[in-house]
Amino acid sequence: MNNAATSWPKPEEVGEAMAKAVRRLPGAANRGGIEDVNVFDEARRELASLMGVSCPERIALGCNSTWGLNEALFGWPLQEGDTVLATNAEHNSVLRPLYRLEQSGVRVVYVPADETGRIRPERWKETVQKYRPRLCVLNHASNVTGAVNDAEAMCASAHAYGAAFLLDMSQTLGCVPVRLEKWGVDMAAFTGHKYLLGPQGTGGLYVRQGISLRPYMVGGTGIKSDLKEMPDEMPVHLEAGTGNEPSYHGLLAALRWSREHPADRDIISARMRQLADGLAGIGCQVIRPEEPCMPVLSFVIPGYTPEEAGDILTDSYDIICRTGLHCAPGLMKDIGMPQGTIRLSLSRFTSEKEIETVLSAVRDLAESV
Amino acid sequence: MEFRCKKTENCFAGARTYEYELPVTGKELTRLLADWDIRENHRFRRPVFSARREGMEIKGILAARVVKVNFTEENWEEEKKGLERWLEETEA
Repeated sequence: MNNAATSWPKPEEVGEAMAKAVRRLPGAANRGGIEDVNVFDEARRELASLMGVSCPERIALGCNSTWGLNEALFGWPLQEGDTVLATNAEHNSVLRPLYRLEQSGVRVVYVPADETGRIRPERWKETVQKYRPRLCVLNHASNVTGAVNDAEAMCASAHAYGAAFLLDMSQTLGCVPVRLEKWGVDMAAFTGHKYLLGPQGTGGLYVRQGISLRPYMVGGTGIKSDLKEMPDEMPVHLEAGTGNEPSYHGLLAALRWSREHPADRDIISARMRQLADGLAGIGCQVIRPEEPCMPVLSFVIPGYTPEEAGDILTDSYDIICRTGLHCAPGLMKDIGMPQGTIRLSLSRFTSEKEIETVLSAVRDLAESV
Repeated sequence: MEFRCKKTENCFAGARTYEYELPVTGKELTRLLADWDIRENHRFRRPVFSARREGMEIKGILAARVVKVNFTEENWEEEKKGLERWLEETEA
């Protein structure tokens, strides 16, 4: 029940592909010829299709979303006095780079979320209009409540007032339809280990054609070694050092598996309703955003701190959940739970029986106050 | 008694939480914690306990040998040293 952190289980093919990759000769990313299979390029093609991107080479591959977000936030040409607009729903992978930018004179303005963790497009637009930022950052979905934001509308608002738009798809890619080119998104970060069903150590950044970031990380690329700077062409412009080839074999296997086995959204929604209705029926305080929503749910059990309840659920009942501020400290006041929440996050593999097990355990807690 | 200690992941503000692996169960530990406020709950699938004193809390499964300790934000280093000294000086 912790898929919003790292999805589990994975399709069998993921582990098999990774095991094969470490046993055979390493590939030659950026160094091989036409006969070499370049797992990074294969993964890029699958990702481009999933993101609605026509040029796979605009996707730089690294180790996770945090890497991609750092490349975007520190690579974008911000200067002292510039404004960046973000939201209270951002994860620390965005917030901590922003705190550092503030130290160099960049102003950061945060748009509050509503009581379900969603950013209202009209409020976003008003704030963009008022502060005229150079860059806007939006969490596509709250990792605390699952509320999915209207990225297309908010990207349009950012562009209408001259700002670039960076989308954090850490929670959504693989679960929510994404059309980056159609929406006009300038940059978008993603990770492989959540709803893409891939392994940890995979993720990256899409950068729209026409944008050139100043690479945050520099180093060897296997090409143009005589240059003192990173080569200009994407994706190698942002890809310093040897990539995580075994994990990208795993991610590629996951992407292909997901393409062949699309998730049944109706079943996932039914499980979410079963969980939310059940928890509310027991007397829990449940955050229930309207659709569209990720299969993520935050709640508290009256009479228990979230930490206390989470420990009991895990230690006494083997229910793996996450408790606390969920690396999104700005959101807790907006959703009226300043002490944090218990978060359950489902996957396409979560069964009705597993939900019943959770509800039975929570009922035990509620009846033992 | 001998013990192993590890900081645990905890996303709460100001959390100072560590796990201790002990040579005794949680139940046996509670018998050694003479001046602590001890509570047990046997209604859960694996019964649990908590022991509280001056803002510190030791908790876990009664039948398990790993317990979790929450120290206070203000004085956690002193409390941690004190608990570990007490564990070292206490016979299992």
